[in-house]
Amino acid sequence: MSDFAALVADVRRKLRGDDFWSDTDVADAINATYFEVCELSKCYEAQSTLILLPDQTYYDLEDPNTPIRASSSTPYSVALEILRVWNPVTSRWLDARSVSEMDMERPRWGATYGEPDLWIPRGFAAFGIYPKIASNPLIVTTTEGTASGVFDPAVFDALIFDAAAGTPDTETSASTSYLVISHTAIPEEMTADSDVPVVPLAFHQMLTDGSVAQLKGLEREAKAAARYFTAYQEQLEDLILHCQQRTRRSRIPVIGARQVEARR
Amino acid sequence: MNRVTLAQSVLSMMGDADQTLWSRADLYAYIQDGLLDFQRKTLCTWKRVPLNDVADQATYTLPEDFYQLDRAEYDGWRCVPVNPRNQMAGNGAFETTGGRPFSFMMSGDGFNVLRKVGVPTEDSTDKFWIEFFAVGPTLDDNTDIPLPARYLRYLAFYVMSQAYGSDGDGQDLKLAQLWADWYGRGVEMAKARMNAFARRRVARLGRDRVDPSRMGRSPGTLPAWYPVVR
Repeated sequence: MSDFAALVADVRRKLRGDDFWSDTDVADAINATYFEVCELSKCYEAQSTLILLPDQTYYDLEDPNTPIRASSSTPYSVALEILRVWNPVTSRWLDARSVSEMDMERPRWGATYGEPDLWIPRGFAAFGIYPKIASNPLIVTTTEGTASGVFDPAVFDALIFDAAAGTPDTETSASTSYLVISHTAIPEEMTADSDVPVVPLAFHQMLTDGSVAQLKGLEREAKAAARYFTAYQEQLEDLILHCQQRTRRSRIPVIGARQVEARR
Repeated sequence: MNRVTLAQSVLSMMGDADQTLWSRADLYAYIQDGLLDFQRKTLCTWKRVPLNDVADQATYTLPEDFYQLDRAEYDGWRCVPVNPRNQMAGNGAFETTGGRPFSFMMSGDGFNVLRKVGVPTEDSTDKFWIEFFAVGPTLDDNTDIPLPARYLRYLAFYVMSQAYGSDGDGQDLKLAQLWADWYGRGVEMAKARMNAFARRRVARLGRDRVDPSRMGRSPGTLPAWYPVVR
């Protein structure tokens, strides 16, 4: 199977043509399983642009009011694992530090201003930067006019973001500071019949098994649900391994060392 | 989404929209328990709030949803948690000695009370900050459940697990276990997300795979040299 329509058809087949569940229920179950799979396997990677706010160290990546947008035409999807962070103003990659390292290496780091060159993960989804910027990057002059003050998505999306490129408008002033973050993410919900999941084709059956497990559970068929759940879990573990090991290690033996073991 | 909407959704999923087997009040209790359980296990709610200085006041009540302290800072400087015994030996008058609160203590003054060591001599705002993991709040019909939307599904599984496990005509222990397993998956997923968020992906010479056990610690734990303050 390959597209959303095929997934729905496969779920229906496994439910033995049961009409109890509507198309919406089946679609919701597939998408819920899809999101869970992508979050656990980290198989979907995306790039987003974060506008930096003056005098602000932490940005909550789960908060819809955070000024972060996808670097493409698709909507921003919450960043799960940060892969790398680029500062286009300084043309440098940001390195990661834990907060304890920051406290040991840089006293009073939270009160330092400048262009960010380190990022600090805090808690569940708080993305910290060091140093924080001082000047107000929201005072920008573009061909469309001037905007300033607290980030307002409705205003700044039009002024700052070039929707096609996902980057600040070329007309913005040099004081605009932003970061480009590469991260794993959760993809968009599948709605159209032709939508194709980002999960590799070899693992599409997992999406239907997980959906059927959920629907069978809701039908109070515990044994059937557990059976599909077990199959789903096994395939999910394979996908997680696949995502970690898809760049195969060379099997060239080294004299005196044992051969690289086969991977699943 | 608030508890009313979630309860309605769960009752519908369990086929008991008319509340024959489980009442809405039961589900509200399960939702509250589930929220606290999820937050406690995953530490998914991190907050940074000021604990403003009041002149000549040493002890401060922590927020109601405070669960575990991550870090404290004063005027940009990290505050050090201190041991009461060391304080008693070093400065017998530590409870009243005025100064800037570069240290703090959370022992002996109440479970949810923080004592600033270096009692503030003047009022100040936004100078003393605490960063902590929160559990709560107590939900009402209007409060949005403070979890990312995609984790509300697992909260629903927790509620169903509790409902099917409770005594009564609706009891089904196999289903209760099924939904408990699925809820557990959600908890593990959230925990894995936080560990992945904090992991530094720096490869080391001679190794082509990142070994998480050698990376920076998860932000959910204090460094080893932090004295345990309870």
